[in-house]
Amino acid sequence: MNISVNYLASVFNSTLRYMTPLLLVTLCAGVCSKARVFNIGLEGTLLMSAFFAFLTQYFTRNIFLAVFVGMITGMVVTFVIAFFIVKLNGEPMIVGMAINKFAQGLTTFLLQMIFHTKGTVSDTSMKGLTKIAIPGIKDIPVLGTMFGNLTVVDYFAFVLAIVMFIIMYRTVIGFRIRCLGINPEAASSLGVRVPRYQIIATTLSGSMIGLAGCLLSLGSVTMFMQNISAARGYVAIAANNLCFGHPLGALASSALFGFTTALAQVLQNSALKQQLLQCIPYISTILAMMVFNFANAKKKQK
Amino acid sequence: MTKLKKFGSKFLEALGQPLVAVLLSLLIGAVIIGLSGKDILSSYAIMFKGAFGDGYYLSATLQRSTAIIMGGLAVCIAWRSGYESMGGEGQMIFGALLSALIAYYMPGPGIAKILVGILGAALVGAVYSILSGWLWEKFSVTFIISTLMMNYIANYIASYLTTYKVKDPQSRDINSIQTGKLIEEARFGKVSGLFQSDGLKETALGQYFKDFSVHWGFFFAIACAVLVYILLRKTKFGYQSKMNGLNSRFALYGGINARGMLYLVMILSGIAAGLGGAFEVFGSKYRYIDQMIFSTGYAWSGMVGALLANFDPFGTVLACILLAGLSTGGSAMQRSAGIPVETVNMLEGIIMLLMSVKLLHLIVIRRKVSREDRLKHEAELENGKEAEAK
Repeated sequence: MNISVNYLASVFNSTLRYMTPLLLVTLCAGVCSKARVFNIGLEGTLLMSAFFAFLTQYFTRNIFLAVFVGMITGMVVTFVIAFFIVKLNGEPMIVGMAINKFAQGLTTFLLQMIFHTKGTVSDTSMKGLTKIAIPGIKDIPVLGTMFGNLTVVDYFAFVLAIVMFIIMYRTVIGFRIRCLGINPEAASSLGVRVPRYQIIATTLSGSMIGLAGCLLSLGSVTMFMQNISAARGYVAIAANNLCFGHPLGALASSALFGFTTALAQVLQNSALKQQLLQCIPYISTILAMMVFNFANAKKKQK
Repeated sequence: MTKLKKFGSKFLEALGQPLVAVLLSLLIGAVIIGLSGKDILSSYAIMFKGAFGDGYYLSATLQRSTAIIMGGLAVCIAWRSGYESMGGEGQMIFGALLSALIAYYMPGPGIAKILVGILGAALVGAVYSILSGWLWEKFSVTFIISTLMMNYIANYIASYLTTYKVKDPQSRDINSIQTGKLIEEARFGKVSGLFQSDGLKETALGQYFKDFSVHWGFFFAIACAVLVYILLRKTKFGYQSKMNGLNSRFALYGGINARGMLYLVMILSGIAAGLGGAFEVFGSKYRYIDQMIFSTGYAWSGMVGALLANFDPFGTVLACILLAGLSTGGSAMQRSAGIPVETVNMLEGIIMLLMSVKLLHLIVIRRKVSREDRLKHEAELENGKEAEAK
């Protein structure tokens, strides 16, 4: 019995670890969707910030600088996306896919130019994000496993979800962002400079993708590999759809997808082969969207 | 004169944007090459020579472009009708895998293997495409989520099958994850085969064409482009689908069966993508190799090509050949200048980004509009003054 409790605790732990990057990206997706910037370049943004955070840490060995660079990368890329969509009137779908494609090319290009490899880069002497062990909990058997191996940023992600809720639903700024998403003309007639607001809001929220990128390459493992983001950016769009861009709802929806990813990890020793297990997060994303939209449509009919 | 001017502006509209996008992206590529400490001009010279430099390289480019063209046509059909499906990759993967399996395991003459293989690829591509259409129609799962997820799923399932179920029985190497190699009769012939008959073999022509790698699949792809052109431009379906893409509510009002339209479009684009996979198997690789579609990004290049051509089938063919040239040239650049071929991916990303906005409109028309605005404003001011004076 004790073993199975421990087992569940470790599932809980990996759910937490898979969920936090997704949560951060979903929060950013939430701001983007509220501000009516249809951003599907999240995937590429995540990939690039993971890479540049890793690169900075590799060369400077300064974790603060690495996180900072990661966040700046996230903001710069999101700014480019927002600028192309809002100011230049670009087709959002194409802008996003272009960024994703560019990110894929850039990271593999630099990987090869700097590390002379195409696959994975890791350096055992490199330190990742600081891991936090809560003093009281650390020594309790089950709770210790449940909350072990989590970094500062993991905890910060949960705090951020609450902070984002307060910003979006309890401040004037958040009210304006939501307004301009619902009715840009009305917002503009009230004196909100719509394009500027859209760009600034999304750009700032891009820093959260930067943090998520740091979690990927400097989190529980310190390494970078080709396509480390593994479609998390796309899953985040789905997660954001599930919670209608509500920051607290993002907690639930990213937990759902974090769990399915953890499930793929946990079942590794079972009869199912690895390639099939890797499908689980993607299949569950489609399934979740199906169930959710179906239930919603039913509700509307009533 | 006005006719000439009209033609000129039409020409500018169709070709100006892609040209500017490609040139700008090459310029940015030059900066990147320069930053990595290589000689820009010689790198680009190598790239151009490796793509279109002589007949041999050109034929390699055409060979590579086959699957890209098919991916581009799939995007043409779907996007023009307003369904922004990005599932070409998944459909291509299943098309390639199934056709490789059929042609390897089915008994019978080579030509039958090819025909059934192609049929199977078209079928599986269509089915996989219908699935995403069904998800949209029944559950309103957006195309970007369903198709992208399905691409990953297809790749993993194909990888699973080739690793455990249908691995090449003759291969002893554990690391080569691939299906069995097709027999000679079950492959597309090389175009160079035309000149290898006994009479021609020793002539200059035969020698010249000897190593050309372009296969008949390329011409099938061109034929498909012609079919798509006829379908989109000359039939009722083409008109309806275009209307649907421009304004789906208007199309619905005009009496279009939206549901039938959706499925028909998905089937056609799925067939195109599936065939792309089959052509790659029969023409180039002669088997399914794990990750062979996923890592080369054929479907994505096809999408960039279709965007460059603004979803015109013939334009797509040209753009796809250009993009294939970029990547064969990129490989040449990697071999002799040490610049990773991934640079090309970056360039494609930049091209796409530049194609997303109406560049020429931004530069030319905005200036025009702002000037007109100013004039109007000034005129209004004048009027106001006059009114006041009265």
